[in-house]
Amino acid sequence: MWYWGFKSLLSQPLALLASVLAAAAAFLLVLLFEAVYAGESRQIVAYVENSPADVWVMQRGVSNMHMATSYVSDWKATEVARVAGVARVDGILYLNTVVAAGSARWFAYVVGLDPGATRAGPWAMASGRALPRAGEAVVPEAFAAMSGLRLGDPLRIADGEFAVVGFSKGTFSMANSVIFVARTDLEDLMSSLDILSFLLVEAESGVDAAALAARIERQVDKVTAVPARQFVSNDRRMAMQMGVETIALMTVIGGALATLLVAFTCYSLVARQRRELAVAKALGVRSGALYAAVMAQAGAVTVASLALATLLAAAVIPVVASLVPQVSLALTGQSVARLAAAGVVVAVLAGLWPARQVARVDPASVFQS
Amino acid sequence: MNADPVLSCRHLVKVFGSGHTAVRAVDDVSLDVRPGELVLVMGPSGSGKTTLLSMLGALLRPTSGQVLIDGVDATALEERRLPAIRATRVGFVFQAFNLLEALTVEENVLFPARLVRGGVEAARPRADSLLARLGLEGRRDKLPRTLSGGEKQRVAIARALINAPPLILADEPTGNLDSSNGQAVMMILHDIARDEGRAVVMVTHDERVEEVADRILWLEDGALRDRRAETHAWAVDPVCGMRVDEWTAAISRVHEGVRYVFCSERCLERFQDDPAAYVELKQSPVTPVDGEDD
Repeated sequence: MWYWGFKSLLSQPLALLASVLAAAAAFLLVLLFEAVYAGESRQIVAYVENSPADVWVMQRGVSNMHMATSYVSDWKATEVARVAGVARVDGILYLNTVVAAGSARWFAYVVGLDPGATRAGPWAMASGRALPRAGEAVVPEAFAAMSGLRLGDPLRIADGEFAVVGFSKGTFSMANSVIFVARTDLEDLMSSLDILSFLLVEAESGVDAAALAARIERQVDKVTAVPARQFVSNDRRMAMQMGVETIALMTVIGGALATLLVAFTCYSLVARQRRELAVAKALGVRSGALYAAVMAQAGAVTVASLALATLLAAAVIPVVASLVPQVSLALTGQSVARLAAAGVVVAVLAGLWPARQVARVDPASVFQS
Repeated sequence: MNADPVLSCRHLVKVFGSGHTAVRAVDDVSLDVRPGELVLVMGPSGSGKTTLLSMLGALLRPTSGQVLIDGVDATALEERRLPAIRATRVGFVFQAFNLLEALTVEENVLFPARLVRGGVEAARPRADSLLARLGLEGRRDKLPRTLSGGEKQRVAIARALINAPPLILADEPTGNLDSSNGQAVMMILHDIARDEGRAVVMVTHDERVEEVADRILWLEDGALRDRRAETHAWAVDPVCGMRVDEWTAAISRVHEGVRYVFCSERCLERFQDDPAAYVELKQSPVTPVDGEDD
């Protein structure tokens, strides 16, 4: 019966195309929401993910960087450096604040670097210098493009003014960008001296990061030490938690819309085929086989819509990313898999309504001319 | 005609509705149809022919009575077992052809074969033979919408025969066909009964079919009745004076013990407004006359 179901579906190509396009639009909407979510989530942890630390050390009780505040006295960097297995320690000062360039204003992580802390700075540069000196700042390339900043232009961070000396790559997101300044400048802005936020610890070759973190916590008072992999994971989890409800709601709305569209398609198809279904029943086709045919039709529309939506998303996302660089988009396999799983639910739900119609078809109605 | 009946029904009754609104559509019908027989069921519109055919084909449960198809009591079977009976033991031919529009001629013919053991592959040689026999060889890849009415009905007949059922039920198979196509379809059904030994039960209004039928059953008010010897019983509509076949007339009323037939609802309404005017002035006794005479 599946064969007949598919042929019936294909026998009305325009109606099928309209339905697939409509359902694909709903699925595309879901994929784009997911892409924004995935892209932004990825960008939020970009700094910690790209830093070469093996262990992150911070104020006791803090376990991530995103939206967190941490204060560690700078002499603790020396104590950490003395722990067996530590090869190098770089301290950063860190502030969440608003930066302004002309009329453009943006929320950013401002990272204060020591003069030699090259490893805690930007990991990729578009142009200019990576390590800022006093009165200088390195800003994301996307931020510069949006605000029209050029090298040498002024930039306001809180109540301090800086000269832009470099444009970094991969450091921008809608939620937070990363701007690098000299640590002494950030200390001025924060009116605090001899304070660091995080210590980036490099382990000696062959030393296990988890064991080293545990050793640091034992030997240095009032700090939390977290292996880098765990730290990135903590940050990502925190970032995801902040947007997950919104995205989940959008996904449910998009999924519900797609379900309605696919269900309506199958419903109209069954309504148009009512007489043929009665004929099939009269000829001896079991209702179960007809349900399967209707479900297969719903499944086919859903699969076609999902495939089209995925292809469109793959084509649209790079275009959107180039046109709107401030938006971080990422089409992940996980998003597509999640949508495919939702598609199964959509197909089943969408098939139930028309299947009910099938059950009501009276085979004796074939004699009505 | 001594073989066991392919189709047998006993005291078949179908009542629609209940209480005051109950309608006895089929009333105590019993009949046997044997292999090779072509039986016509005729009668006025609304006499219960289609309801009877639906019950004979296991499409509709009778209120009471029994239907045996090829020895199987369809009335005693559970609902879920009936599709298999219809697929293997009954072939249906409809007035409106009822082909599946998305499938080609060949796929339509083979459609019921998907429902039985062996499936399409086993049935393909028989489909080839049926298509050749019914003059459809060159049309096998065509869609139904490209066929003429006669071709569609031949496809429907091939579909009805693909699983070699012992019983063919046809509902007005010539109703949507012109004279020559109708004649051709009739002869095919006649040959199916005579040459293949299948029982064919056909509901029809087509008088030309009577010549090839083995038996004619007359159904009136849901019950089988003796058919009168005459071909027609012409009566005159008392309102407009039009000649109406009393046996097939759908609109009639009994007034003071006399049955009057009408050509239309409009004439009936006028009659009901003032029966006396028409009875006194234009009453036409029901006078059986020869088919072509006045």
